[in-house]
Amino acid sequence: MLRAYTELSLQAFASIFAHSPLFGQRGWRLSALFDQMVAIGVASMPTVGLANFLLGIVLAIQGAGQFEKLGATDMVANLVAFSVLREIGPLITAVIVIGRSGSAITAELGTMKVAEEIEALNVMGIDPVKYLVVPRLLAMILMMPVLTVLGEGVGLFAGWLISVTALHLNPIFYVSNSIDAVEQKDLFSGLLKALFFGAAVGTVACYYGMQVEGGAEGVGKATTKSVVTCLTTMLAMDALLTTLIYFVL
Amino acid sequence: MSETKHKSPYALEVRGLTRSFGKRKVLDNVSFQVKHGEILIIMGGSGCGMSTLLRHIIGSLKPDAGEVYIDGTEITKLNDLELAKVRKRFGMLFQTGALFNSLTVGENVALPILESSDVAPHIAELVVKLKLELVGLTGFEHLKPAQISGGMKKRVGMARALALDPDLLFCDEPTAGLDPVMTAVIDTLTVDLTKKLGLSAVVVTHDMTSAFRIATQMIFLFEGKVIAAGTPEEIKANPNPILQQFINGDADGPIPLKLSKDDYLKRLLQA
Amino acid sequence: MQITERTEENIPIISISGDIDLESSPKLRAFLKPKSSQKTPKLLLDFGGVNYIDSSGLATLIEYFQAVQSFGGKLTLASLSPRVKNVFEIVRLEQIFSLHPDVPSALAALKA
Ligand SMILES: Nc1ncnc2c1ncn2[C@@H]1O[C@H](COP(=O)(O)OP(=O)(O)OP(=O)(O)O)[C@@H](O)[C@H]1O
Ligand SMILES: [Mg+2]
Repeated sequence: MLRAYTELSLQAFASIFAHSPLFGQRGWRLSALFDQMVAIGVASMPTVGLANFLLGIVLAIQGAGQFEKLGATDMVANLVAFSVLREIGPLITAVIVIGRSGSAITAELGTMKVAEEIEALNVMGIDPVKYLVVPRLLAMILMMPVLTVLGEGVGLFAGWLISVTALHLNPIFYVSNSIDAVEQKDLFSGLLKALFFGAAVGTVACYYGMQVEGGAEGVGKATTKSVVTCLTTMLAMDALLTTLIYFVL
Repeated sequence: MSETKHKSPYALEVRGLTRSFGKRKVLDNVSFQVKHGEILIIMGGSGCGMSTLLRHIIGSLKPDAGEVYIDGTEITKLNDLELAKVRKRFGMLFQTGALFNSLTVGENVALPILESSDVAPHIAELVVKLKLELVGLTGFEHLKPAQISGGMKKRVGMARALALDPDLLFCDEPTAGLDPVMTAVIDTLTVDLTKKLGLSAVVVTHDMTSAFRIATQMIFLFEGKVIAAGTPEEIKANPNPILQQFINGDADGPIPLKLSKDDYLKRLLQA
Repeated sequence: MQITERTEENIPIISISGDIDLESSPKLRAFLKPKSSQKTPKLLLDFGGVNYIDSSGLATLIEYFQAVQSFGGKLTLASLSPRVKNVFEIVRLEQIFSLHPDVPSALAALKA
């Protein structure tokens, strides 16, 4: 299984590079890529925004509870800024995208597989990896960071909003505190994570879709497996990257 | 392609094809040939491995043993890239149609053209019109597969199979679900394509009228083996009782039903 | 596929030889495009050297025919091999294109 997954991923990335506009090929299927970017990215925006908004509030209130005891409620700004950019933003965004789009990719490709559509592509001499996997994977890799940035923005705003209203913190002071608390590195480490999450979710979701056997039941099973694997892979990757960034940067 | 470019006298040659799923031998040493310009009909009981045989011929499945030659090229051991090249000369109509549900009828037929060449979209559009007219579906370009009937899906599948003007056409039950008039249209089309353009066709069908109308050669599969082969006249004259029962559509005969009647009643009454 | 052009009695005669298929039909299309944009009133396509035409080739001719109709021009095709003619007939195109056994008869039809 791992071998088949690796093969598909390598094939997909090879196809992405081989057909990239840099090499003057007929190119990626731009309209398909665009459709997928809309399906995966644009359509996920409201949910990603909402999830990040709610977590921004939770973070600020939870932090306030602790910092109050130390008499340092101002520190809420630091906590929210730091954790949204480094951890919560990329993480919760990936969770939403896995639930919404990762599962959809597996279900869609799986349905095509059981309806013999993928076999039909092969018989027509059309490479299903190039035709189906590449646009989805590429859209995932491109949209995950975009959604993450959006989610982080909303999360930060929610933290600020709750802090100045419910916690009565100074709005200007909160912002300057936030800016002091974070470095460029925090933003980049979050985006780096998002990039890796996108690649992982894209390849795993496509892999599970392409290997579906056995009708509608098979599609359902594969979708469940795909979501579980995406989540665990993403969390493992998060732990690994966090550790690496901590020790290396 | 023009006839002069043929490498082998046979458009298709299958030698000793054998395949098991688990313990069940679905194909058992199947061999036959199709000359250029011929229509070979594959007959057999439902579930006896005809679609599986087609899948092996088009290279979707690999056999346990045996070879498949497409105009002299052995394809069971080719890699994906080489196989894709041979497949450019195929057209395949799947038993279920296998249309792309996210694309319209027109886009389904245009897909192989646009993906395999640099022709302009307008040219592809015109080719789509030509092909849809062949199968009696002019004007249905803009519907999605979910919006058309089962028989129409079959015909769109046929139009798509013909999109790239194949040398070799495979049809899995092309007339199943079609009314008698449409069946005649598709039969005439298949004959015209072979007679006028030199195509070769392999057609799986349960429809005996249609089979005898278009066949130049026939084979009959039974329990994974070819038990009869020949021209339509030879098949009609073949005394094999299994074959005769099948051709005449008799319920009684040597073809075993899944369980005998006694066995069925015994099982039914078992606690 | 090779395309050559000559003029006879003020009528351009385009001789095509080889296969008109997915690969070469864009070349034919590019050749015919200026003819239709210049509104060439009469055009003869000599198919004497054509041994194969596929559907994209037919589509290219149909596209030109559509353009020609818009300005009332004339188009004839000459010397189609039996097999090439069959390709036209299967999709009933012999009913819209004017097909002729040889160049002189096609020329005569254009002048009529
Ligand atoms: N992938 C597979 N795995 C296991 N068994 C299979 C597989 N594909 C086909 N079979 C078995 O092989 C046998 C032949 O199937 P096939 O689809 O070729 O039948 P068929 O002759 O086309 O029947 P029909 O006329 O009903 O379409 C069936 O009994 C089926 O259960
Ligand atoms: Mg079948």
